[in-house]
Amino acid sequence: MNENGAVEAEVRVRYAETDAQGVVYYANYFVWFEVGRMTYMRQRGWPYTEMERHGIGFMIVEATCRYQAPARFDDQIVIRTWVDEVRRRSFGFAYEVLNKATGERLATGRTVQVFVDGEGKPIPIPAQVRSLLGE
Amino acid sequence: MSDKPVVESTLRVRYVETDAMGVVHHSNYLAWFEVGRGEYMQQMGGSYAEFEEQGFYLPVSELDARFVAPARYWDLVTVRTSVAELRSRRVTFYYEVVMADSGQVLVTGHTRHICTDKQGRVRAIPKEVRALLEGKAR
Repeated sequence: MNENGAVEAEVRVRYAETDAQGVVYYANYFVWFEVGRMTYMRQRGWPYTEMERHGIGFMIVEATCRYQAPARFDDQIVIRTWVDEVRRRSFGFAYEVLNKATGERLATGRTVQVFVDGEGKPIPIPAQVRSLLGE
Repeated sequence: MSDKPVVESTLRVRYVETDAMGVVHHSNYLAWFEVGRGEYMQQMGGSYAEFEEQGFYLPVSELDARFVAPARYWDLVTVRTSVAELRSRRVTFYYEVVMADSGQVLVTGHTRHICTDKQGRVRAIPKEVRALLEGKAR
């Protein structure tokens, strides 16, 4: 799986997401990444709710972001999401955040997830969801 | 151990910070990092608010975080903040979020900031702010 398998999601910047500098607060990009990965999963046929019904979840164990340009209130934002790495017990989502009107790249980021069972214990990546991850 | 100053801020997990898994949503730890660096500057003898009043800003340019264990509603957590790297135009803070009672590590991370003026142009960090970040202004 690579960037060619990217799924796009759109959000419009809410006032609540901005801060005193007039730009989107840095932590909020991680909420957008979540919108991105949930959209990705739904489009790949494994909505997160469906996974939970199967007694499977995942937890984020690492997150990174590089901020390149600010987003402002009412901007239309595109979040591109793809799976960039699959290991035995973890996998990575990569994200790109763009300003829809200008195409300018605002941020790139990555999260690493591990699968957990219903009790929250780490488990190897379940076979039935490997297809979700592009395998 | 280095002799770099480490500033501790203790806070209690609010319900609004938790999610459907019953734990703090990962994005909220990043707001705690902000509490940590704000308190760091305060305890080093300045404040970020004053810094902005002088026309300087420290926007976040890079972030990394490792989530080791979850925090839950009403947990008392301590954010330990220090300066990991200080360059002429940027500063990197390092954070450890631990359980206040047991000391168990929950999250570690860094934020890198570039110094800019109001127009967003990159500037050198003013001398007195450098001293403050190094813990030499107290």
